[in-house]
Amino acid sequence: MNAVWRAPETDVATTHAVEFRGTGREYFRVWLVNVTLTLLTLGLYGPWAKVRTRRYFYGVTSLAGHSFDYHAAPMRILLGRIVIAGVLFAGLVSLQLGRWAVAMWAIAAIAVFPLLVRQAIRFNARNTSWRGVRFNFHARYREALFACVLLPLAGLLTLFLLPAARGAWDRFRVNHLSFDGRLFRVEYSPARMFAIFATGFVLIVGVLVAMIGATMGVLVFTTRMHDVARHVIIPVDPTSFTQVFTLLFGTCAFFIAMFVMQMANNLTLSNTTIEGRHRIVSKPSPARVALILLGNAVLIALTLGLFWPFAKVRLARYRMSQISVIAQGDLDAFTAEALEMQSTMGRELSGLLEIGL
Amino acid sequence: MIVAGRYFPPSEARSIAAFASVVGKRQLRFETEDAYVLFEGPPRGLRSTPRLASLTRRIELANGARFETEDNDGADALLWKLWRLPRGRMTARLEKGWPAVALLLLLIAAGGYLFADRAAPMATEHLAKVTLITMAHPMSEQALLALDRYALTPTGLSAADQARANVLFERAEAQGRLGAGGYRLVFRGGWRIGPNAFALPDGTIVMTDSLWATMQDEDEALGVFAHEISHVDHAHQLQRVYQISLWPAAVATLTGDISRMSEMAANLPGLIAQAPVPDDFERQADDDAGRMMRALGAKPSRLAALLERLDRAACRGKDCLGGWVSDHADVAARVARLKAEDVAPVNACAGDWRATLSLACLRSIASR
Repeated sequence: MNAVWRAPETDVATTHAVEFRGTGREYFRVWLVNVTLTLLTLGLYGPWAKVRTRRYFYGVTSLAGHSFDYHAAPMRILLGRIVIAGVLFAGLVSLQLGRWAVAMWAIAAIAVFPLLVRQAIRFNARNTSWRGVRFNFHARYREALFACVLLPLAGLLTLFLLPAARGAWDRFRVNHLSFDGRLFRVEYSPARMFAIFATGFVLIVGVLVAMIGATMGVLVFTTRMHDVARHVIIPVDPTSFTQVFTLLFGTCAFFIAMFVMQMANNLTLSNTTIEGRHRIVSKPSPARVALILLGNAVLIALTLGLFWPFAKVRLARYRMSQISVIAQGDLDAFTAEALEMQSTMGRELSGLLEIGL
Repeated sequence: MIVAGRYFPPSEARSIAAFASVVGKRQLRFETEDAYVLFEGPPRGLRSTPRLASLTRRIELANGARFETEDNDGADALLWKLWRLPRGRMTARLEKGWPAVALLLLLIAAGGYLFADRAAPMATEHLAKVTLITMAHPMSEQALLALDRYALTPTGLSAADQARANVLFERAEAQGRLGAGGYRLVFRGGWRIGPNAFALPDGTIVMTDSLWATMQDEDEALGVFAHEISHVDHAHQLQRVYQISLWPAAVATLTGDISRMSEMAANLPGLIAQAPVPDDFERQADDDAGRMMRALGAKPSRLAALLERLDRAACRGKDCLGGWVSDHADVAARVARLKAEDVAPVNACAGDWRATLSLACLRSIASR
């Protein structure tokens, strides 16, 4: 039977657009039930709610006519949350024991952190499937420590190392990911990531300079030209002026940060290949994503949070509609091989250490 | 009963249009449109995805074959016939009756708000009082470090002035809950915060040079110290911190976003340095200060006079944006209250049951 259905492998490139068929109305109901049950159970339903949300978003996203699936067991996520709570509780206890205890806890927490991150990524990868084939994630502790602690810290301390930290994170996140044995690989010139961050930096500084300039202008106007200024009413007093300044600058900074993040995401995704054969193309406009996020934030605030599910769907729909996969050859044959490999190798997926974080 | 969908043979990526049905004694059958049987057998090791919105339903067999269908009701009926409990029915029913769920959520939110409105102040007071001094100390140290860096400068007070202030402080602290030696007075030059004094959770009281310069007599200094000692005794700063972080903590617990918790822990010293003190805390501190001042033979109206002077000075000189009264909304009401404290209040409720039920007693309870 298998022989009848398997198509011969060809090397023709086919573009498969990612489809997203979720709607705000539908997700609103899922979200409403999640929130209500979580509140009623004082948070215990949280992991179940999380799985339902992921299942929904994965289930409405499809590639080449097949949707993704999320299989995580909520109990495992609950276990993961208990572990995290335990780590934080140990921190509280150490606070009462003195400085040495706090230092020991901090060192232990930093040492454990890469393990937890790796565990979280692996958990999500192993519980994600497409056409019945699961993803997987294999990374060594050393690599996790480097990508999750050392380089981000160096990036935060020096700032100019931030693009390198992001690059290391991308390589850690993507290069150890596999579609049941088929490796993902991301490769791009570090200079490109650096250029993206430099653009963000220039934009932030530009906005700051422009706003300080405008403030100085207002000050000069009100002090030097008081004859004219007397007739102009500035509707804000000095204290709220600071607030207006902070709000404006905060909004601009948020916009720029989202802009930079989307550019970086596009760079990462568009330079990712699967087994060197299939290529991902991601081209959401960074400005559009930032605008959607900004609009979402305003609408969520205006509706006291009720717009949240619609906002989430709105953003996902735009982002997903701009992603596609250029497949070299037959995707069916590719998946069939992966499926066969998966069934021969066995799952070895669940174990005691398999917890969701 | 027949359910239409797609059948994926074991380890096969391609599917074929198929129909699922239950035949004989709980035997699951998948067949093509032209009745070609793809699978028939007992549903041993069968797994199905829970129902969620309009998502495609997957039924997986032990041999690796799977069946996908958009017909959620059909899939549920199929599973029932196989004596399998379809998962996700309860949530699916709730999703269908979403207006009722929305109403329930509204009730929970309203109930939660009312509960928090009554319970939160009690909870924060309890939490603040049981917070161990070992935790209060590092928090206060960090807060003072932050203030020293951004808002305070070293004191310019002469040794003689400091000694005078310390003598007065020792008199005031004897009236506090922790007694002599339980508090610590530190001096700072406050170029950014104007004439000011504030208490940190571990009993450290910071006074700026300009506040000392504004004081006209010893009673005023005693009043300020007593007021700040009351803030320490009632753990007002910690209460405020808990008040501010209680909601985010509740949200973090409910949404499971525990990362926000550690973020909050890191922000505590900053909160202590910045959090404004609410009016009822001020009123409580004023009342305590009045009581302590009377016990020390000082007049609470002197504290009122200092308040008035600071209020007048605020926004006239350089210290427009700071000062001991800057975050105190109703200075006039506080001044009136303090002036009335010169005479010890008569306990209108003391005496027999008639006094307890008297209008004066009720009024005094209400004014508390």
